[in-house]
Amino acid sequence: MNKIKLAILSTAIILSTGCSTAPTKNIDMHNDKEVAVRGLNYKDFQKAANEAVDSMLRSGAISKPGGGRYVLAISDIVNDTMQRIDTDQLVKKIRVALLQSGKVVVTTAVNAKGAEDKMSMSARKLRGHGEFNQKTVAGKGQMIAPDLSLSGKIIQKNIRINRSEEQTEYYFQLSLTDINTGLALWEGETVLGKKGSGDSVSW
Amino acid sequence: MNKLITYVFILTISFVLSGCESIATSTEPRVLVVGQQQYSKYPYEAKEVVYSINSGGFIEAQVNGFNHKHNYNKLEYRVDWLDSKGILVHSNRHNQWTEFPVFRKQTFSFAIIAPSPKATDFKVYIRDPKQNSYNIYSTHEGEVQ
Repeated sequence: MNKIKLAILSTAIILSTGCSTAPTKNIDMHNDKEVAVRGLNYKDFQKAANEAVDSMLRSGAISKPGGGRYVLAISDIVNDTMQRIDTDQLVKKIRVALLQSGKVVVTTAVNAKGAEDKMSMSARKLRGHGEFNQKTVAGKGQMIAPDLSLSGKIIQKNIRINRSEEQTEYYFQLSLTDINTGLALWEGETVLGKKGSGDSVSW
Repeated sequence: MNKLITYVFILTISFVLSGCESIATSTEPRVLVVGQQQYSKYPYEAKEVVYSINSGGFIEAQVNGFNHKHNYNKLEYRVDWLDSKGILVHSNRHNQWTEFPVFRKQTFSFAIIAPSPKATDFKVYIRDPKQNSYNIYSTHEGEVQ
């Protein structure tokens, strides 16, 4: 009899555990009542990118004297945090906003680590190829060299407040350099702070 | 007769006092404080918008307001940027709410900039993100956080 009771109890526990699994939900990205996390989430990248773009637009650094658009190359954005971050989560937002501003166009043919889109150069290997109409092959001297370069760093600092609490600070630092002169035309920094249990991890 | 005079006096005083406490509804047509229409004494007031067009052709604006509450709070704003035909200007920030702080019984301000020179007009929305989760006239009123 006791064995039956134990079996029923075990089944009930297993079933109740199964039932309590949280169902998957889509996040409403326009009205997300966020749950704070120690690591970096999409809202943090959004905030850092928005602040950087607003600051660039205000500074006038991306408004070309006499009109026209600057050509921007993306340089190194160093991830100096304890997390595995794809820095494009930050950079892509900035690129999209700058393109929408009508003041900047980004080159994908030049990057600090080689071309972002290798097809620009690969397509040029078709020169002299008998199978391709040579009038449709990209001509020599058509690519536009960049005027500006965007570089930066994301830094993480962990500070222990007391035995149970820890503070994590994130620094998003960016520079916009005039490639011709090497001078930084614009620089910006966004600082985000998070506090939580020392047991929770920020990576 | 004496009672009537007393009633009139009390009524007059209460009208005067309520007049002193009431918060003027924003007359700034470019700013909508969400919830202000429903409550006559909504604590967050947008007073004015100052704006100009910068050298790059972008509208730069500053919204000035006042927090009548005795609490520090974080409010949010979002901006609809419109072109000369009144059509929304495409921006990856459209419908994004941005936080800003309001300190107890103090003026507040935040600055915005158009995403593109195509934007010729704008509408700013301000909200208290906690508005739906607790009553702003609850016992929190007057407390210092």
